[in-house]
Amino acid sequence: MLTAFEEAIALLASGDEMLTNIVLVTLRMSIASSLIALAIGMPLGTALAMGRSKIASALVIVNRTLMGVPPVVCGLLCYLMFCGVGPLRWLQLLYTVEGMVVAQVLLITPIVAGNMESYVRGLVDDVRETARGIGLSRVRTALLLLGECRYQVFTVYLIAFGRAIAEVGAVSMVGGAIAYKTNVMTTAIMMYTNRGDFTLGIALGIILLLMFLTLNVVVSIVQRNVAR
Amino acid sequence: MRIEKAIKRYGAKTALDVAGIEFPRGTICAVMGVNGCGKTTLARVLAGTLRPDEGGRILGDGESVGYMPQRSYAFYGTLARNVALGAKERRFDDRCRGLIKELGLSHLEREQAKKLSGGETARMALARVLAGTWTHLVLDEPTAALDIPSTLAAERLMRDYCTEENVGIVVVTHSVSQARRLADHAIFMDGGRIVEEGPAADILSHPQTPELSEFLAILGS
Repeated sequence: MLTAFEEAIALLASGDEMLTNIVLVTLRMSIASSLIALAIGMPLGTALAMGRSKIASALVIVNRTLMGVPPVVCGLLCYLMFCGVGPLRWLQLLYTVEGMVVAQVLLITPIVAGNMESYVRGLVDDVRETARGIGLSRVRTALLLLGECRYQVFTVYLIAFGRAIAEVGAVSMVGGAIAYKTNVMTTAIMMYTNRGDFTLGIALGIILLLMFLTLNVVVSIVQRNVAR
Repeated sequence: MRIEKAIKRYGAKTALDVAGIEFPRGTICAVMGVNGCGKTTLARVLAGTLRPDEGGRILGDGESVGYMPQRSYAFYGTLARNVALGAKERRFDDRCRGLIKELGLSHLEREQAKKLSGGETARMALARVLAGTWTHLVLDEPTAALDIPSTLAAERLMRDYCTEENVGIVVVTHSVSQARRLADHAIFMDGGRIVEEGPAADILSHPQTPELSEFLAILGS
Protein backbone atom coordinates (compact mmCIF):
# COMPACT_ATOMS: atom_id res chain seq x y z
CA MET A 1 0.00 0.00 0.00
CA LEU A 2 2.81 2.37 1.00
CA THR A 3 4.72 1.42 -2.14
CA ALA A 4 1.71 2.24 -4.26
CA PHE A 5 1.54 5.68 -2.61
CA GLU A 6 5.25 6.29 -3.21
CA GLU A 7 4.85 5.26 -6.85
CA ALA A 8 1.82 7.52 -7.18
CA ILE A 9 3.79 10.53 -5.88
CA ALA A 10 6.62 9.69 -8.31
CA LEU A 11 4.10 9.45 -11.15
CA LEU A 12 2.67 12.84 -10.21
CA ALA A 13 6.16 14.36 -10.10
CA SER A 14 7.10 12.89 -13.50
CA GLY A 15 4.25 14.67 -15.33
CA ASP A 16 3.10 11.40 -16.94
CA GLU A 17 1.43 12.01 -20.33
CA MET A 18 -1.55 9.74 -19.70
CA LEU A 19 -2.14 11.26 -16.27
CA THR A 20 -1.95 14.82 -17.65
CA ASN A 21 -4.43 13.95 -20.40
CA ILE A 22 -6.92 12.45 -17.95
CA VAL A 23 -6.70 15.53 -15.72
CA LEU A 24 -7.16 17.92 -18.64
CA VAL A 25 -10.18 16.03 -20.03
CA THR A 26 -11.69 15.96 -16.53
CA LEU A 27 -11.20 19.70 -16.08
CA ARG A 28 -12.60 20.50 -19.52
CA MET A 29 -15.69 18.40 -18.92
CA SER A 30 -16.31 19.48 -15.31
CA ILE A 31 -15.80 23.21 -15.84
CA ALA A 32 -17.94 23.28 -19.00
CA SER A 33 -20.79 21.25 -17.54
CA SER A 34 -20.86 23.06 -14.17
CA LEU A 35 -20.82 26.51 -15.80
CA ILE A 36 -23.58 25.61 -18.27
CA ALA A 37 -25.64 24.07 -15.45
CA LEU A 38 -25.13 27.23 -13.39
CA ALA A 39 -26.16 29.50 -16.28
CA ILE A 40 -29.38 27.52 -16.81
CA GLY A 41 -30.12 26.51 -13.22
CA MET A 42 -29.75 29.90 -11.53
CA PRO A 43 -32.46 31.79 -13.43
CA LEU A 44 -34.58 28.64 -13.49
CA GLY A 45 -34.36 28.25 -9.70
CA THR A 46 -35.09 31.95 -9.21
CA ALA A 47 -38.11 31.74 -11.49
CA LEU A 48 -39.39 28.66 -9.64
CA ALA A 49 -39.07 30.46 -6.30
CA MET A 50 -40.83 33.55 -7.60
CA GLY A 51 -43.69 31.61 -9.19
CA ARG A 52 -46.94 31.48 -7.25
CA SER A 53 -49.12 29.51 -9.64
CA LYS A 54 -50.02 25.83 -9.40
CA ILE A 55 -47.87 25.22 -12.46
CA ALA A 56 -44.86 26.69 -10.64
CA SER A 57 -45.55 24.41 -7.63
CA ALA A 58 -45.80 21.40 -9.95
CA LEU A 59 -42.51 22.37 -11.63
CA VAL A 60 -40.81 22.58 -8.22
CA ILE A 61 -41.89 18.99 -7.51
CA VAL A 62 -40.66 17.87 -10.95
CA ASN A 63 -37.31 19.59 -10.37
CA ARG A 64 -36.92 18.03 -6.92
CA THR A 65 -37.60 14.63 -8.46
CA LEU A 66 -34.98 15.25 -11.15
CA MET A 67 -32.48 16.19 -8.42
CA GLY A 68 -32.57 12.58 -7.30
CA VAL A 69 -32.19 10.91 -10.70
CA PRO A 70 -29.45 8.27 -10.47
CA PRO A 71 -26.50 9.18 -12.76
CA VAL A 72 -26.63 5.81 -14.50
CA VAL A 73 -30.24 6.42 -15.47
CA CYS A 74 -29.24 9.77 -16.94
CA GLY A 75 -26.30 8.07 -18.66
CA LEU A 76 -28.59 5.38 -20.06
CA LEU A 77 -31.04 8.00 -21.34
CA CYS A 78 -28.25 9.93 -23.07
CA TYR A 79 -26.79 6.70 -24.45
CA LEU A 80 -30.16 5.72 -25.94
CA MET A 81 -30.53 9.19 -27.46
CA PHE A 82 -27.03 9.36 -28.94
CA CYS A 83 -26.40 5.73 -29.96
CA GLY A 84 -26.54 4.49 -33.54
CA VAL A 85 -30.29 3.90 -33.50
CA GLY A 86 -31.17 6.82 -31.18
CA PRO A 87 -33.16 9.88 -32.26
CA LEU A 88 -30.21 12.20 -31.68
CA ARG A 89 -27.56 10.04 -33.39
CA TRP A 90 -27.01 12.78 -36.00
CA LEU A 91 -25.43 14.90 -33.27
CA GLN A 92 -22.60 12.32 -33.06
CA LEU A 93 -22.13 12.92 -29.34
CA LEU A 94 -21.65 9.33 -28.17
CA TYR A 95 -18.13 8.73 -26.83
CA THR A 96 -17.24 12.41 -26.96
CA VAL A 97 -16.47 14.94 -24.24
CA GLU A 98 -19.34 17.08 -25.53
CA GLY A 99 -21.73 14.16 -25.02
CA MET A 100 -20.42 13.74 -21.47
CA VAL A 101 -21.02 17.46 -20.88
CA VAL A 102 -24.64 17.10 -22.06
CA ALA A 103 -25.18 14.19 -19.65
CA GLN A 104 -23.59 16.15 -16.79
CA VAL A 105 -25.66 19.26 -17.53
CA LEU A 106 -28.84 17.17 -17.45
CA LEU A 107 -27.78 15.76 -14.08
CA ILE A 108 -26.52 18.95 -12.46
CA THR A 109 -28.96 21.62 -13.67
CA PRO A 110 -31.85 20.39 -11.45
CA ILE A 111 -29.46 20.38 -8.48
CA VAL A 112 -28.39 23.97 -9.17
CA ALA A 113 -32.00 25.04 -9.76
CA GLY A 114 -33.20 23.26 -6.61
CA ASN A 115 -30.53 24.86 -4.44
CA MET A 116 -31.26 28.29 -5.88
CA GLU A 117 -34.99 27.76 -5.50
CA SER A 118 -34.77 26.90 -1.81
CA TYR A 119 -32.40 29.81 -1.12
CA VAL A 120 -34.38 32.38 -3.10
CA ARG A 121 -37.64 31.21 -1.53
CA GLY A 122 -36.35 32.44 1.83
CA LEU A 123 -35.75 35.91 0.39
CA VAL A 124 -38.42 36.37 -2.20
CA ASP A 125 -41.25 37.67 0.00
CA ASP A 126 -39.16 40.34 1.70
CA VAL A 127 -37.48 41.42 -1.53
CA ARG A 128 -40.71 41.47 -3.51
CA GLU A 129 -42.62 43.35 -0.81
CA THR A 130 -39.84 45.93 -0.42
CA ALA A 131 -39.32 46.32 -4.17
CA ARG A 132 -43.02 46.75 -4.90
CA GLY A 133 -43.26 49.20 -2.02
CA ILE A 134 -40.83 51.53 -3.76
CA GLY A 135 -42.33 50.97 -7.20
CA LEU A 136 -39.69 48.77 -8.83
CA SER A 137 -40.67 46.80 -11.92
CA ARG A 138 -40.86 43.00 -11.97
CA VAL A 139 -37.71 42.78 -14.09
CA ARG A 140 -35.80 45.05 -11.74
CA THR A 141 -37.09 43.04 -8.77
CA ALA A 142 -35.90 39.79 -10.36
CA LEU A 143 -32.48 41.32 -11.03
CA LEU A 144 -32.27 42.58 -7.46
CA LEU A 145 -33.21 39.13 -6.24
CA LEU A 146 -30.42 37.56 -8.30
CA GLY A 147 -28.04 40.17 -6.89
CA GLU A 148 -29.07 39.15 -3.38
CA CYS A 149 -27.95 35.60 -4.20
CA ARG A 150 -24.37 36.50 -5.19
CA TYR A 151 -22.99 34.82 -2.08
CA GLN A 152 -25.06 31.71 -2.67
CA VAL A 153 -23.91 31.44 -6.29
CA PHE A 154 -20.44 30.38 -5.15
CA THR A 155 -21.82 27.68 -2.88
CA VAL A 156 -24.07 26.41 -5.65
CA TYR A 157 -21.15 26.42 -8.10
CA LEU A 158 -19.07 24.37 -5.67
CA ILE A 159 -21.89 21.85 -5.43
CA ALA A 160 -22.21 21.75 -9.24
CA PHE A 161 -18.49 21.39 -9.87
CA GLY A 162 -18.13 18.82 -7.08
CA ARG A 163 -20.91 16.77 -8.61
CA ALA A 164 -19.44 17.09 -12.11
CA ILE A 165 -15.91 16.11 -11.17
CA ALA A 166 -16.92 13.24 -8.90
CA GLU A 167 -19.57 11.69 -11.13
CA VAL A 168 -18.80 8.35 -12.75
CA GLY A 169 -22.00 6.57 -13.85
CA ALA A 170 -23.26 8.87 -16.59
CA VAL A 171 -19.87 9.85 -17.99
CA SER A 172 -18.68 6.26 -18.30
CA MET A 173 -21.83 5.27 -20.22
CA VAL A 174 -21.80 8.27 -22.56
CA GLY A 175 -18.03 8.73 -22.79
CA GLY A 176 -16.96 5.12 -22.76
CA ALA A 177 -13.72 5.93 -20.87
CA ILE A 178 -11.63 5.92 -24.05
CA ALA A 179 -7.95 6.56 -23.31
CA TYR A 180 -6.66 9.94 -24.50
CA LYS A 181 -10.21 10.91 -25.48
CA THR A 182 -12.97 10.54 -22.91
CA ASN A 183 -11.27 8.93 -19.93
CA VAL A 184 -11.75 11.17 -16.88
CA MET A 185 -10.36 10.79 -13.38
CA THR A 186 -13.28 8.90 -11.88
CA THR A 187 -13.64 6.46 -14.77
CA ALA A 188 -9.85 6.01 -14.85
CA ILE A 189 -9.70 5.28 -11.10
CA MET A 190 -12.37 2.61 -11.55
CA MET A 191 -10.69 1.13 -14.61
CA TYR A 192 -7.18 0.96 -13.14
CA THR A 193 -8.42 -0.34 -9.78
CA ASN A 194 -10.28 -3.14 -11.60
CA ARG A 195 -7.02 -3.99 -13.34
CA GLY A 196 -5.16 -4.05 -10.03
CA ASP A 197 -3.06 -1.02 -11.00
CA PHE A 198 -3.41 1.05 -7.86
CA THR A 199 -0.59 3.51 -8.56
CA LEU A 200 -2.40 5.55 -11.19
CA GLY A 201 -5.66 5.28 -9.24
CA ILE A 202 -4.06 6.67 -6.08
CA ALA A 203 -2.29 9.42 -8.04
CA LEU A 204 -5.62 10.43 -9.62
CA GLY A 205 -7.34 10.30 -6.23
CA ILE A 206 -4.71 12.67 -4.80
CA ILE A 207 -5.12 15.07 -7.73
CA LEU A 208 -8.92 14.93 -7.42
CA LEU A 209 -8.75 15.87 -3.74
CA LEU A 210 -6.15 18.60 -4.34
CA MET A 211 -8.17 20.10 -7.17
CA PHE A 212 -11.31 20.30 -5.07
CA LEU A 213 -9.34 21.69 -2.13
CA THR A 214 -7.82 24.40 -4.37
CA LEU A 215 -11.22 25.29 -5.80
CA ASN A 216 -12.69 25.52 -2.30
CA VAL A 217 -9.91 27.85 -1.15
CA VAL A 218 -10.25 30.09 -4.23
CA VAL A 219 -14.04 30.23 -3.94
CA SER A 220 -13.84 30.99 -0.20
CA ILE A 221 -11.47 33.91 -0.86
CA VAL A 222 -13.66 35.30 -3.65
CA GLN A 223 -16.79 34.77 -1.55
CA ARG A 224 -15.27 36.67 1.39
CA ASN A 225 -14.38 39.59 -0.87
CA VAL A 226 -17.87 39.66 -2.38
CA ALA A 227 -19.48 39.61 1.06
CA ARG A 228 -17.44 42.65 2.15
CA MET B 1 -57.32 56.13 -1.99
CA ARG B 2 -60.21 54.27 -0.48
CA ILE B 3 -61.56 50.84 0.35
CA GLU B 4 -65.23 50.22 -0.28
CA LYS B 5 -64.91 46.61 0.74
CA ALA B 6 -62.01 44.23 1.39
CA ILE B 7 -62.14 40.71 2.76
CA LYS B 8 -59.10 38.46 3.21
CA ARG B 9 -59.30 34.96 4.63
CA TYR B 10 -56.55 32.52 5.59
CA GLY B 11 -58.32 29.17 5.69
CA ALA B 12 -61.23 29.49 8.09
CA LYS B 13 -59.87 32.66 9.68
CA THR B 14 -61.00 36.03 8.39
CA ALA B 15 -57.93 38.23 8.69
CA LEU B 16 -59.57 41.31 7.23
CA ASP B 17 -63.15 42.40 6.74
CA VAL B 18 -63.39 46.14 6.28
CA ALA B 19 -65.55 48.53 4.32
CA GLY B 20 -66.03 52.20 3.59
CA ILE B 21 -62.71 53.76 4.55
CA GLU B 22 -61.17 56.75 2.83
CA PHE B 23 -57.61 57.96 3.16
CA PRO B 24 -57.51 61.57 2.01
CA ARG B 25 -54.32 63.26 0.85
CA GLY B 26 -52.64 65.63 3.27
CA THR B 27 -53.67 63.66 6.36
CA ILE B 28 -52.04 61.04 8.55
CA CYS B 29 -54.09 58.06 9.67
CA ALA B 30 -52.89 55.81 12.48
CA VAL B 31 -53.97 52.15 12.38
CA MET B 32 -53.92 50.55 15.81
CA GLY B 33 -54.85 47.30 17.52
CA VAL B 34 -53.43 44.26 19.23
CA ASN B 35 -51.22 41.69 17.45
CA GLY B 36 -53.08 39.69 14.83
CA CYS B 37 -55.97 42.14 14.58
CA GLY B 38 -55.42 42.69 10.84
CA LYS B 39 -53.33 45.89 10.78
CA THR B 40 -50.59 44.50 8.53
CA THR B 41 -53.13 42.76 6.30
CA LEU B 42 -54.91 46.10 5.84
CA ALA B 43 -51.56 47.82 5.19
CA ARG B 44 -50.61 45.23 2.56
CA VAL B 45 -53.99 45.50 0.84
CA LEU B 46 -53.63 49.30 0.76
CA ALA B 47 -50.08 48.94 -0.58
CA GLY B 48 -51.25 46.55 -3.28
CA THR B 49 -48.89 43.75 -2.23
CA LEU B 50 -51.74 41.51 -1.03
CA ARG B 51 -54.79 40.75 -3.08
CA PRO B 52 -57.91 40.33 -0.93
CA ASP B 53 -60.40 37.56 -1.65
CA GLU B 54 -63.11 40.16 -2.15
CA GLY B 55 -62.95 43.85 -2.96
CA GLY B 56 -59.71 45.82 -2.62
CA ARG B 57 -58.26 49.30 -2.66
CA ILE B 58 -59.47 51.87 -5.13
CA LEU B 59 -57.02 54.45 -6.41
CA GLY B 60 -58.03 57.71 -8.04
CA ASP B 61 -56.51 59.09 -11.24
CA GLY B 62 -52.75 59.57 -10.91
CA GLU B 63 -52.67 58.17 -7.38
CA SER B 64 -49.69 56.04 -6.38
CA VAL B 65 -48.83 54.27 -3.16
CA GLY B 66 -45.41 53.82 -1.55
CA TYR B 67 -45.03 51.17 1.11
CA MET B 68 -42.59 50.39 3.89
CA PRO B 69 -43.14 46.81 5.10
CA GLN B 70 -42.90 45.82 8.74
CA ARG B 71 -39.59 44.04 8.15
CA SER B 72 -37.08 46.51 6.79
CA TYR B 73 -35.00 44.86 4.12
CA ALA B 74 -31.49 45.98 3.19
CA PHE B 75 -30.35 45.14 -0.34
CA TYR B 76 -26.72 44.44 -1.13
CA GLY B 77 -24.72 47.62 -1.60
CA THR B 78 -24.25 50.82 0.34
CA LEU B 79 -26.87 52.70 2.29
CA ALA B 80 -26.77 55.36 -0.44
CA ARG B 81 -27.56 52.78 -3.14
CA ASN B 82 -30.45 51.44 -1.07
CA VAL B 83 -31.96 54.88 -0.56
CA ALA B 84 -31.42 55.75 -4.24
CA LEU B 85 -33.55 52.73 -5.22
CA GLY B 86 -36.55 54.56 -3.80
CA ALA B 87 -35.89 57.79 -5.72
CA LYS B 88 -37.73 58.50 -8.96
CA GLU B 89 -34.63 58.36 -11.16
CA ARG B 90 -33.04 55.69 -8.92
CA ARG B 91 -30.19 58.11 -8.30
CA PHE B 92 -28.77 59.32 -5.00
CA ASP B 93 -29.80 62.95 -5.38
CA ASP B 94 -30.03 65.92 -3.02
CA ARG B 95 -33.41 64.76 -1.77
CA CYS B 96 -31.93 61.40 -0.69
CA ARG B 97 -28.99 63.20 0.89
CA GLY B 98 -31.37 65.47 2.82
CA LEU B 99 -33.46 62.54 4.05
CA ILE B 100 -30.54 60.55 5.43
CA LYS B 101 -29.26 63.73 7.09
CA GLU B 102 -32.63 64.28 8.78
CA LEU B 103 -32.61 60.70 9.97
CA GLY B 104 -29.04 60.92 11.30
CA LEU B 105 -27.56 58.51 8.74
CA SER B 106 -25.20 60.81 6.80
CA HIS B 107 -22.09 59.30 8.37
CA LEU B 108 -23.21 55.84 7.16
CA GLU B 109 -23.78 56.84 3.51
CA ARG B 110 -20.98 54.61 2.18
CA GLU B 111 -21.52 51.76 4.66
CA GLN B 112 -22.73 48.38 3.45
CA ALA B 113 -26.45 48.29 4.19
CA LYS B 114 -26.36 44.64 5.28
CA LYS B 115 -24.06 45.62 8.14
CA LEU B 116 -26.33 48.28 9.61
CA SER B 117 -28.05 47.76 12.95
CA GLY B 118 -31.81 47.12 13.15
CA GLY B 119 -32.56 50.75 13.96
CA GLU B 120 -30.29 52.04 11.22
CA THR B 121 -31.86 49.65 8.70
CA ALA B 122 -35.34 50.85 9.67
CA ARG B 123 -34.30 54.50 9.22
CA MET B 124 -32.72 53.64 5.88
CA ALA B 125 -35.95 51.91 4.78
CA LEU B 126 -37.95 54.99 5.80
CA ALA B 127 -35.59 57.28 3.86
CA ARG B 128 -35.88 54.94 0.86
CA VAL B 129 -39.66 55.11 0.69
CA LEU B 130 -39.75 58.85 1.43
CA ALA B 131 -37.31 59.39 -1.45
CA GLY B 132 -40.07 58.47 -3.89
CA THR B 133 -42.89 60.63 -5.16
CA TRP B 134 -46.24 59.28 -4.01
CA THR B 135 -49.75 60.49 -3.39
CA HIS B 136 -50.10 58.01 -0.52
CA LEU B 137 -47.71 56.22 1.79
CA VAL B 138 -48.34 53.12 3.88
CA LEU B 139 -45.83 52.64 6.69
CA ASP B 140 -46.05 49.45 8.75
CA GLU B 141 -44.56 50.14 12.18
CA PRO B 142 -41.88 52.44 10.78
CA THR B 143 -40.50 53.40 14.19
CA ALA B 144 -40.80 50.08 16.06
CA ALA B 145 -37.01 49.58 16.09
CA LEU B 146 -36.08 53.21 16.79
CA ASP B 147 -35.00 55.01 19.96
CA ILE B 148 -36.92 58.10 21.11
CA PRO B 149 -34.81 60.80 19.36
CA SER B 150 -34.87 58.83 16.09
CA THR B 151 -38.62 58.24 16.48
CA LEU B 152 -39.25 61.96 16.91
CA ALA B 153 -37.04 62.78 13.89
CA ALA B 154 -38.93 60.20 11.81
CA GLU B 155 -42.29 61.62 12.91
CA ARG B 156 -41.13 65.13 11.96
CA LEU B 157 -40.19 63.88 8.50
CA MET B 158 -43.53 62.11 8.05
CA ARG B 159 -45.45 65.21 9.07
CA ASP B 160 -43.38 67.43 6.73
CA TYR B 161 -43.79 64.95 3.85
CA CYS B 162 -47.54 64.85 4.44
CA THR B 163 -47.98 68.61 4.64
CA GLU B 164 -45.46 69.85 2.07
CA GLU B 165 -46.24 67.28 -0.60
CA ASN B 166 -49.91 66.75 0.17
CA VAL B 167 -49.45 63.03 0.75
CA GLY B 168 -51.91 60.81 2.57
CA ILE B 169 -50.01 58.67 5.08
CA VAL B 170 -51.25 55.52 6.78
CA VAL B 171 -49.11 54.52 9.77
CA VAL B 172 -49.52 51.19 11.52
CA THR B 173 -48.42 51.69 15.11
CA HIS B 174 -48.63 50.12 18.53
CA SER B 175 -47.88 53.40 20.23
CA VAL B 176 -50.86 55.40 21.47
CA SER B 177 -48.60 58.35 22.22
CA GLN B 178 -47.28 58.27 18.66
CA ALA B 179 -50.81 58.20 17.29
CA ARG B 180 -51.68 61.21 19.47
CA ARG B 181 -48.58 63.15 18.37
CA LEU B 182 -48.70 62.29 14.71
CA ALA B 183 -52.11 61.30 13.44
CA ASP B 184 -55.07 63.36 12.32
CA HIS B 185 -57.27 60.30 12.11
CA ALA B 186 -57.14 56.93 13.89
CA ILE B 187 -58.53 53.50 13.17
CA PHE B 188 -58.77 50.83 15.84
CA MET B 189 -59.02 47.23 14.63
CA ASP B 190 -60.01 44.00 16.31
CA GLY B 191 -60.51 40.56 14.73
CA GLY B 192 -59.92 41.91 11.23
CA ARG B 193 -62.64 44.56 11.54
CA ILE B 194 -62.58 48.27 12.19
CA VAL B 195 -64.10 48.66 15.61
CA GLU B 196 -63.74 52.40 15.99
CA GLU B 197 -62.47 55.28 13.90
CA GLY B 198 -62.46 59.03 14.02
CA PRO B 199 -60.24 62.02 14.70
CA ALA B 200 -57.23 60.68 16.60
CA ALA B 201 -57.48 63.20 19.42
CA ASP B 202 -61.16 62.35 19.99
CA ILE B 203 -61.22 58.58 19.89
CA LEU B 204 -57.99 58.17 21.84
CA SER B 205 -59.27 60.48 24.59
CA HIS B 206 -62.91 59.43 24.58
CA PRO B 207 -63.21 55.90 23.23
CA GLN B 208 -66.75 54.85 22.39
CA THR B 209 -66.25 51.08 22.27
CA PRO B 210 -65.29 48.64 25.04
CA GLU B 211 -62.52 47.17 22.83
CA LEU B 212 -60.68 50.47 22.43
CA SER B 213 -61.35 51.44 26.08
CA GLU B 214 -59.81 48.15 27.21
CA PHE B 215 -56.85 48.59 24.83
CA LEU B 216 -56.15 52.07 26.18
CA ALA B 217 -56.61 50.91 29.77
CA ILE B 218 -54.08 48.09 29.34
CA LEU B 219 -51.56 50.59 27.96
CA GLY B 220 -52.33 52.99 30.79
CA SER B 221 -53.35 55.64 28.31
